[in-house]
Amino acid sequence: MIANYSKITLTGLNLENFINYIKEANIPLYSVQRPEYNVMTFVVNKKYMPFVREHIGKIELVEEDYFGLGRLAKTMLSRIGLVIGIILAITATIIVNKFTLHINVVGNETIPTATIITALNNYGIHLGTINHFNQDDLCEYLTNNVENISLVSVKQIGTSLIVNIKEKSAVLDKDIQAFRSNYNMQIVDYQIFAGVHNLHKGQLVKIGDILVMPENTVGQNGEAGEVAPKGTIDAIVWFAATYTMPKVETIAYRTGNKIISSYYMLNDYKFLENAVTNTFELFEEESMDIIISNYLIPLRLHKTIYYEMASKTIENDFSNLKDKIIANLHDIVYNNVTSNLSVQDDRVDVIETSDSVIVNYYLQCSTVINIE
Amino acid sequence: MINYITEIAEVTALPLSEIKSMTSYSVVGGVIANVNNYNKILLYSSNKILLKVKDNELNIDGKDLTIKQMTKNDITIMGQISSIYYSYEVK
Repeated sequence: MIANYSKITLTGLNLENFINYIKEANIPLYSVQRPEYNVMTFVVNKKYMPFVREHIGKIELVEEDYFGLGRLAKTMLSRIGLVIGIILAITATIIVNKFTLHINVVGNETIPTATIITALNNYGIHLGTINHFNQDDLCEYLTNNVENISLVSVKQIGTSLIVNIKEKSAVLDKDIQAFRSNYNMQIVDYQIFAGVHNLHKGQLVKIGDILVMPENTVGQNGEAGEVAPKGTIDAIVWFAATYTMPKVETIAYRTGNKIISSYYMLNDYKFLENAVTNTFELFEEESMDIIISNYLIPLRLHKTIYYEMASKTIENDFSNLKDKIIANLHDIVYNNVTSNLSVQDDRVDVIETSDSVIVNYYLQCSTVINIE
Repeated sequence: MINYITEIAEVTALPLSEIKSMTSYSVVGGVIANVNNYNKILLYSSNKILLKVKDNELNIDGKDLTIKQMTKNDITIMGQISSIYYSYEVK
């Protein structure tokens, strides 16, 4: 490609004899053309031109550069503006590439990017300037001046400074609890970064089930410990409330008749006793001690009240109570909805049996559980 | 080409050195002709190229014929090649 070739135009007679002579000299010829009977053109390596010229005889020869460095130099010299433009563009590219226009911090999970950039600024590296730094020195500076950095590498690629951070492993703790479910739910998706788990998509879990166990690990100093579970779980959570209404029920009620038996006590001395015999067949009994005075005299009134009771059978009409029952169940299930839950759907099922009506209220929510 | 010549030598049971010294030509797609062991160019025009080969002449007829490359022993011709034939009967 960089070899110099010449395009030769011969004008004369018996041109075949001349190229036969050249080929006998073991000179390769390319693109040999015969546009007219007395004109022939071909391309030959420039290094053979002295031989060609020496044996040209009476044939007229015109030589022009075909390709190679010579042709390139000739083209460039005839287009000085293009050359200047290329030189300026290359110079501008070289200068611009020395500036730091972007700082990309990668690999940091807990350390804020702003902290790294502040440390870089403190070291003397700023955006939009030409920064000269020793990579090893900068890495050591960041490791020593930013907490929780275990390893760091810095590389300038073009106008970007790439800082790759490897953070220290989580602090070991020997008393980390397993992460348990707070809901009855179905797991939709999960990403567990730390911890041992046996989760799978579609799995149903109940309140209290273990979701992620702490992970046994060994610290940088060789001590055994556990790393706290960490990750996120997307789940569908259900809440349900049930009310069973008997169609016919027997209720007890007080008739309003009562018998009161009482006496007063002064220390252990009983007096003014009004002992009345309870004659009710069905009754409710209430006893009470009433302190008459607590400071001067330790006087107490003891009273026993017998309420007469009766019973009756009533028929519940569900159609009249339906709205109230559903409203109560709605309040019960919606009391469970916290800010991290978003309601997706709710549903009421009414099941009628021979002796009762059962009302179930279901509430479905979605949630993203952050395990930290 | 060497493999081709070698195969011919194996098939014909002729000495390889002798076959290598013989004139041979091949045509690819009617647009490329390659001739080995020619002696010289006797005539060159856009519709005919006449080559001197051992004890004979090789005619290459066609249109827009050009010599793409020529070395001491080989010549490669491009164009619309219509026929290649020897001038004299091959003995």
